[in-house]
Amino acid sequence: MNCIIIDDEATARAIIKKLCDNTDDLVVRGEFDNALVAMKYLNKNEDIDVVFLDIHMPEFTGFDFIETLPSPPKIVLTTSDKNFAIEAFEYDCIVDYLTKPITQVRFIKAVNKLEELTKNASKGDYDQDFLFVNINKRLIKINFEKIVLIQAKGDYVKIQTEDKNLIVHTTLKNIIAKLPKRLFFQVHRSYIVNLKKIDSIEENTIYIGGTHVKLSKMARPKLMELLNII
Amino acid sequence: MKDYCPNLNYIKEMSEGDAAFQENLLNVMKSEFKRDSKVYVDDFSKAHYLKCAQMVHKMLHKIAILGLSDGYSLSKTHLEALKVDNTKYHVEFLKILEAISNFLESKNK
Repeated sequence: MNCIIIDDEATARAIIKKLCDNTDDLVVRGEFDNALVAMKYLNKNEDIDVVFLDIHMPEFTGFDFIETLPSPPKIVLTTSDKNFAIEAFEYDCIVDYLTKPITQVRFIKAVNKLEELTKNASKGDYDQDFLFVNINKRLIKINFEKIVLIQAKGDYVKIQTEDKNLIVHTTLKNIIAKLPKRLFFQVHRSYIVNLKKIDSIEENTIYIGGTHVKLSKMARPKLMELLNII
Repeated sequence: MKDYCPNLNYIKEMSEGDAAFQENLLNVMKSEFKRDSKVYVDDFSKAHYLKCAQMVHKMLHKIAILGLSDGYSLSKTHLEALKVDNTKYHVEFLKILEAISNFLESKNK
Protein backbone atom coordinates (compact mmCIF):
# COMPACT_ATOMS: atom_id res chain seq x y z
CA MET A 1 0.00 0.00 0.00
CA ASN A 2 1.30 3.45 -0.92
CA CYS A 3 1.02 5.97 1.88
CA ILE A 4 1.84 9.55 2.79
CA ILE A 5 2.40 11.14 6.20
CA ILE A 6 0.97 14.54 7.11
CA ASP A 7 2.09 16.06 10.40
CA ASP A 8 3.40 19.50 11.28
CA GLU A 9 5.78 17.92 13.81
CA ALA A 10 9.03 16.55 12.33
CA THR A 11 9.50 14.16 15.27
CA ALA A 12 6.12 12.55 14.60
CA ARG A 13 6.87 12.21 10.89
CA ALA A 14 10.21 10.52 11.64
CA ILE A 15 8.53 8.00 13.97
CA ILE A 16 5.66 7.17 11.62
CA LYS A 17 8.12 6.79 8.73
CA LYS A 18 10.14 4.33 10.81
CA LEU A 19 6.99 2.37 11.72
CA CYS A 20 6.01 2.22 8.03
CA ASP A 21 9.51 1.16 6.98
CA ASN A 22 9.33 -1.69 9.49
CA THR A 23 6.19 -2.95 7.73
CA ASP A 24 6.55 -4.84 4.46
CA ASP A 25 3.20 -3.67 3.13
CA LEU A 26 3.64 0.09 3.38
CA VAL A 27 5.64 2.30 1.04
CA VAL A 28 6.03 5.93 2.14
CA ARG A 29 5.64 8.07 -0.97
CA GLY A 30 5.75 11.45 0.73
CA GLU A 31 5.98 13.37 4.01
CA PHE A 32 4.27 16.72 4.47
CA ASP A 33 4.26 19.27 7.30
CA ASN A 34 1.31 21.05 5.74
CA ALA A 35 -2.07 19.66 4.71
CA LEU A 36 -2.51 22.08 1.81
CA VAL A 37 0.69 20.92 0.11
CA ALA A 38 -0.35 17.31 0.71
CA MET A 39 -3.71 18.00 -0.90
CA LYS A 40 -2.01 19.23 -4.07
CA TYR A 41 0.15 16.10 -4.07
CA LEU A 42 -2.90 13.84 -3.69
CA ASN A 43 -4.64 15.59 -6.55
CA LYS A 44 -1.73 14.70 -8.81
CA ASN A 45 -1.07 11.22 -7.42
CA GLU A 46 -4.09 8.97 -7.45
CA ASP A 47 -2.30 5.82 -6.35
CA ILE A 48 -2.07 6.74 -2.67
CA ASP A 49 -3.94 4.15 -0.61
CA VAL A 50 -3.41 5.43 2.91
CA VAL A 51 -2.81 8.77 4.63
CA PHE A 52 -1.40 8.99 8.15
CA LEU A 53 -2.93 12.26 9.19
CA ASP A 54 -2.35 14.46 12.22
CA ILE A 55 -5.59 16.10 13.30
CA HIS A 56 -4.20 19.01 15.22
CA MET A 57 -2.38 21.26 12.76
CA PRO A 58 -2.41 25.06 12.68
CA GLU A 59 -4.70 26.79 10.17
CA PHE A 60 -5.87 23.66 8.34
CA THR A 61 -6.80 20.70 10.56
CA GLY A 62 -6.90 17.04 9.64
CA PHE A 63 -10.70 17.15 9.50
CA ASP A 64 -10.59 20.20 7.18
CA PHE A 65 -8.26 18.17 4.98
CA ILE A 66 -10.62 15.18 4.80
CA GLU A 67 -13.62 17.34 4.02
CA THR A 68 -11.81 19.05 1.18
CA LEU A 69 -10.98 15.84 -0.67
CA PRO A 70 -13.72 14.64 -3.03
CA SER A 71 -12.58 11.04 -2.75
CA PRO A 72 -10.29 10.61 0.26
CA PRO A 73 -8.10 7.51 0.52
CA LYS A 74 -8.11 5.44 3.71
CA ILE A 75 -7.11 7.64 6.63
CA VAL A 76 -5.35 6.71 9.85
CA LEU A 77 -5.57 9.61 12.27
CA THR A 78 -2.63 10.35 14.54
CA THR A 79 -3.00 12.69 17.48
CA SER A 80 -1.83 13.52 20.99
CA ASP A 81 -5.42 14.26 21.89
CA LYS A 82 -7.98 11.56 22.60
CA ASN A 83 -10.88 14.00 22.45
CA PHE A 84 -11.36 13.76 18.70
CA ALA A 85 -12.17 10.03 18.67
CA ILE A 86 -15.94 10.51 18.49
CA GLU A 87 -15.73 13.00 15.63
CA ALA A 88 -13.47 10.55 13.79
CA PHE A 89 -16.25 7.98 13.59
CA GLU A 90 -18.31 10.38 11.47
CA TYR A 91 -16.01 9.81 8.50
CA ASP A 92 -16.23 6.59 6.52
CA CYS A 93 -12.69 6.95 5.24
CA ILE A 94 -11.15 6.91 8.74
CA VAL A 95 -9.89 3.42 9.42
CA ASP A 96 -8.13 3.91 12.74
CA TYR A 97 -7.16 6.44 15.36
CA LEU A 98 -3.66 6.31 16.84
CA THR A 99 -2.70 8.19 19.98
CA LYS A 100 0.86 9.53 20.12
CA PRO A 101 3.37 8.35 21.00
CA ILE A 102 2.44 5.43 18.75
CA THR A 103 3.69 2.00 19.80
CA GLN A 104 4.79 -0.70 17.34
CA VAL A 105 2.05 -3.04 18.56
CA ARG A 106 -0.71 -0.48 18.05
CA PHE A 107 0.66 0.51 14.66
CA ILE A 108 0.70 -3.09 13.45
CA LYS A 109 -2.93 -3.42 14.54
CA ALA A 110 -3.81 -0.44 12.36
CA VAL A 111 -1.93 -1.91 9.39
CA ASN A 112 -3.80 -5.20 9.86
CA LYS A 113 -7.08 -3.29 9.73
CA LEU A 114 -5.99 -1.60 6.51
CA GLU A 115 -5.03 -4.93 4.97
CA GLU A 116 -8.31 -6.51 6.00
CA LEU A 117 -10.23 -3.68 4.35
CA THR A 118 -8.21 -4.03 1.16
CA LYS A 119 -8.88 -7.79 1.09
CA ASN A 120 -12.60 -7.31 1.65
CA ALA A 121 -12.70 -4.70 -1.08
CA SER A 122 -11.22 -7.08 -3.60
CA LYS A 123 -13.54 -9.91 -2.50
CA GLY A 124 -16.48 -7.82 -3.70
CA ASP A 125 -15.88 -8.98 -7.18
CA TYR A 126 -17.85 -12.06 -7.44
CA ASP A 127 -20.80 -13.17 -5.65
CA GLN A 128 -23.36 -10.58 -6.51
CA ASP A 129 -24.18 -8.42 -9.46
CA PHE A 130 -25.94 -5.56 -7.71
CA LEU A 131 -25.69 -3.12 -4.84
CA PHE A 132 -28.17 -1.12 -2.82
CA VAL A 133 -27.93 2.61 -2.22
CA ASN A 134 -29.66 4.57 0.50
CA ILE A 135 -31.59 7.55 -0.84
CA ASN A 136 -33.93 9.40 1.51
CA LYS A 137 -34.10 6.39 3.83
CA ARG A 138 -35.07 4.10 0.95
CA LEU A 139 -32.74 1.33 -0.22
CA ILE A 140 -32.67 1.24 -4.00
CA LYS A 141 -31.24 -1.67 -5.94
CA ILE A 142 -28.88 -0.99 -8.83
CA ASN A 143 -27.58 -3.75 -11.09
CA PHE A 144 -23.89 -3.34 -11.91
CA GLU A 145 -24.55 -3.98 -15.60
CA LYS A 146 -26.85 -0.94 -15.73
CA ILE A 147 -24.35 1.53 -14.28
CA VAL A 148 -22.72 3.70 -16.94
CA LEU A 149 -20.55 5.96 -14.83
CA ILE A 150 -20.20 7.42 -11.36
CA GLN A 151 -19.14 10.98 -10.74
CA ALA A 152 -17.89 12.58 -7.49
CA LYS A 153 -19.85 15.67 -6.51
CA GLY A 154 -18.54 17.06 -3.20
CA ASP A 155 -19.94 14.90 -0.41
CA TYR A 156 -22.09 13.01 -2.91
CA VAL A 157 -21.72 10.84 -5.98
CA LYS A 158 -23.92 10.84 -9.04
CA ILE A 159 -24.59 7.34 -10.34
CA GLN A 160 -25.62 7.45 -13.97
CA THR A 161 -27.40 4.26 -15.05
CA GLU A 162 -28.98 3.34 -18.39
CA ASP A 163 -32.35 4.71 -17.30
CA LYS A 164 -31.84 7.12 -14.39
CA ASN A 165 -29.42 9.24 -12.38
CA LEU A 166 -29.11 8.78 -8.62
CA ILE A 167 -27.43 11.10 -6.12
CA VAL A 168 -26.00 9.21 -3.16
CA HIS A 169 -24.26 10.52 -0.04
CA THR A 170 -20.95 8.65 -0.22
CA THR A 171 -17.51 8.90 -1.79
CA LEU A 172 -15.99 7.35 -4.91
CA LYS A 173 -13.55 5.50 -2.66
CA ASN A 174 -16.38 3.84 -0.76
CA ILE A 175 -18.35 2.95 -3.82
CA ILE A 176 -15.47 1.53 -5.84
CA ALA A 177 -14.76 -0.87 -2.97
CA LYS A 178 -18.21 -2.39 -3.60
CA LEU A 179 -17.87 -2.68 -7.37
CA PRO A 180 -16.36 -5.59 -9.33
CA LYS A 181 -12.93 -4.70 -10.68
CA ARG A 182 -13.56 -6.64 -13.88
CA LEU A 183 -16.28 -4.10 -14.78
CA PHE A 184 -15.38 -0.78 -13.18
CA PHE A 185 -12.32 1.42 -13.25
CA GLN A 186 -11.56 4.85 -11.80
CA VAL A 187 -10.39 6.87 -14.80
CA HIS A 188 -10.03 10.18 -12.99
CA ARG A 189 -10.16 11.61 -9.46
CA SER A 190 -13.84 12.35 -10.08
CA TYR A 191 -15.00 9.48 -12.33
CA ILE A 192 -15.51 5.74 -12.26
CA VAL A 193 -16.67 4.16 -15.50
CA ASN A 194 -18.21 0.85 -16.48
CA LEU A 195 -15.67 -0.55 -18.95
CA LYS A 196 -18.42 -2.25 -20.96
CA LYS A 197 -20.16 1.09 -21.57
CA ILE A 198 -17.19 2.96 -23.06
CA ASP A 199 -17.93 3.93 -26.68
CA SER A 200 -14.60 5.46 -27.60
CA ILE A 201 -11.50 7.13 -26.24
CA GLU A 202 -9.78 10.05 -27.84
CA GLU A 203 -6.60 11.29 -26.19
CA ASN A 204 -7.67 12.19 -22.62
CA THR A 205 -11.41 12.02 -23.19
CA ILE A 206 -13.64 9.00 -22.76
CA TYR A 207 -16.97 8.98 -24.61
CA ILE A 208 -19.51 6.99 -22.68
CA GLY A 209 -23.31 6.85 -22.41
CA GLY A 210 -23.90 9.95 -24.52
CA THR A 211 -21.48 12.06 -22.52
CA HIS A 212 -17.75 12.38 -22.08
CA VAL A 213 -15.42 12.29 -19.06
CA LYS A 214 -11.76 13.07 -18.45
CA LEU A 215 -9.13 10.36 -18.41
CA SER A 216 -6.23 11.19 -16.10
CA LYS A 217 -2.63 10.66 -17.17
CA MET A 218 -2.11 8.37 -14.17
CA ALA A 219 -5.08 6.17 -15.00
CA ARG A 220 -4.46 5.91 -18.75
CA PRO A 221 -1.82 3.11 -18.79
CA LYS A 222 -3.89 0.87 -16.50
CA LEU A 223 -7.05 1.51 -18.51
CA MET A 224 -5.21 0.57 -21.72
CA GLU A 225 -4.26 -2.73 -20.07
CA LEU A 226 -7.86 -3.44 -19.15
CA LEU A 227 -9.27 -2.79 -22.61
CA ASN A 228 -9.30 -5.44 -25.27
CA ILE A 229 -7.16 -3.51 -27.74
CA ILE A 230 -6.13 -5.09 -31.07
CA MET B 1 7.91 20.93 43.07
CA LYS B 2 8.91 17.93 41.02
CA ASP B 3 12.11 16.73 39.42
CA TYR B 4 11.59 15.84 35.81
CA CYS B 5 13.75 12.98 34.55
CA PRO B 6 13.42 12.25 30.83
CA ASN B 7 14.37 8.81 29.53
CA LEU B 8 14.99 7.04 26.21
CA ASN B 9 12.78 3.98 26.84
CA TYR B 10 10.31 4.70 24.04
CA ILE B 11 12.99 5.76 21.57
CA LYS B 12 15.04 2.61 22.27
CA GLU B 13 11.97 0.44 21.82
CA MET B 14 11.22 2.19 18.50
CA SER B 15 14.81 1.97 17.31
CA GLU B 16 15.15 -1.79 17.86
CA GLY B 17 18.92 -1.36 17.91
CA ASP B 18 18.99 0.91 14.86
CA ALA B 19 21.57 3.39 16.12
CA ALA B 20 21.35 5.58 13.01
CA PHE B 21 17.59 6.00 13.45
CA GLN B 22 18.01 6.79 17.16
CA GLU B 23 20.64 9.42 16.44
CA ASN B 24 18.59 10.94 13.64
CA LEU B 25 15.44 11.05 15.77
CA LEU B 26 17.29 12.70 18.65
CA ASN B 27 18.69 15.28 16.23
CA VAL B 28 15.23 16.01 14.85
CA MET B 29 13.80 16.28 18.37
CA LYS B 30 16.61 18.50 19.54
CA SER B 31 16.31 21.04 16.75
CA GLU B 32 12.51 21.01 16.78
CA PHE B 33 12.37 21.31 20.55
CA LYS B 34 14.81 24.22 20.58
CA ARG B 35 12.72 26.06 17.99
CA ASP B 36 9.38 25.30 19.66
CA SER B 37 10.64 26.34 23.10
CA LYS B 38 11.86 29.63 21.71
CA VAL B 39 8.52 30.29 20.00
CA TYR B 40 6.71 29.45 23.25
CA VAL B 41 8.88 31.79 25.34
CA ASP B 42 8.56 34.61 22.77
CA ASP B 43 4.79 34.23 22.56
CA PHE B 44 4.54 34.12 26.35
CA SER B 45 6.52 37.35 26.70
CA LYS B 46 4.00 38.98 24.34
CA ALA B 47 1.07 37.49 26.30
CA HIS B 48 -0.08 35.54 23.21
CA TYR B 49 -1.40 32.75 25.38
CA LEU B 50 -3.50 31.01 22.76
CA LYS B 51 -0.42 30.67 20.54
CA CYS B 52 1.47 29.40 23.60
CA ALA B 53 -1.25 26.77 24.11
CA GLN B 54 -0.81 25.60 20.51
CA MET B 55 2.92 25.29 21.02
CA VAL B 56 2.44 23.36 24.28
CA HIS B 57 0.17 21.00 22.35
CA LYS B 58 2.89 20.50 19.76
CA MET B 59 5.43 19.75 22.51
CA LEU B 60 3.18 17.24 24.32
CA HIS B 61 4.29 14.48 21.96
CA LYS B 62 7.98 15.00 22.74
CA ILE B 63 7.24 15.22 26.47
CA ALA B 64 5.46 11.85 26.25
CA ILE B 65 8.19 10.30 24.07
CA LEU B 66 10.73 11.17 26.77
CA GLY B 67 8.65 9.36 29.40
CA LEU B 68 7.75 12.42 31.46
CA SER B 69 4.34 11.30 32.65
CA ASP B 70 4.12 13.91 35.42
CA GLY B 71 5.39 16.53 33.00
CA TYR B 72 2.78 15.45 30.47
CA SER B 73 -0.09 15.88 32.96
CA LEU B 74 1.18 19.27 34.05
CA SER B 75 1.60 20.37 30.43
CA LYS B 76 -1.97 19.39 29.57
CA THR B 77 -3.27 21.32 32.55
CA HIS B 78 -1.10 24.27 31.53
CA LEU B 79 -2.41 24.07 27.96
CA GLU B 80 -6.03 24.28 29.10
CA ALA B 81 -5.20 27.10 31.54
CA LEU B 82 -3.47 29.11 28.81
CA LYS B 83 -6.62 28.97 26.70
CA VAL B 84 -8.33 31.07 29.37
CA ASP B 85 -5.30 33.33 29.92
CA ASN B 86 -4.33 31.57 33.15
CA THR B 87 -0.52 31.48 33.45
CA LYS B 88 -0.38 29.75 36.84
CA TYR B 89 1.60 26.74 35.54
CA HIS B 90 4.09 28.62 33.37
CA VAL B 91 7.01 28.48 35.80
CA GLU B 92 6.56 24.76 36.37
CA PHE B 93 6.28 24.19 32.62
CA LEU B 94 9.60 26.00 32.11
CA LYS B 95 11.20 23.43 34.41
CA ILE B 96 9.97 20.68 32.11
CA LEU B 97 11.40 22.49 29.11
CA GLU B 98 14.71 22.92 30.89
CA ALA B 99 14.85 19.24 31.87
CA ILE B 100 14.19 18.18 28.27
CA SER B 101 16.64 20.68 26.84
CA ASN B 102 19.45 19.52 29.17
CA PHE B 103 18.63 15.89 28.45
CA LEU B 104 18.66 16.28 24.68
CA GLU B 105 21.90 18.27 24.78
CA SER B 106 23.59 15.60 26.89
CA LYS B 107 22.39 12.71 24.72
CA ASN B 108 23.25 14.09 21.35
CA LYS B 109 26.45 16.10 21.29
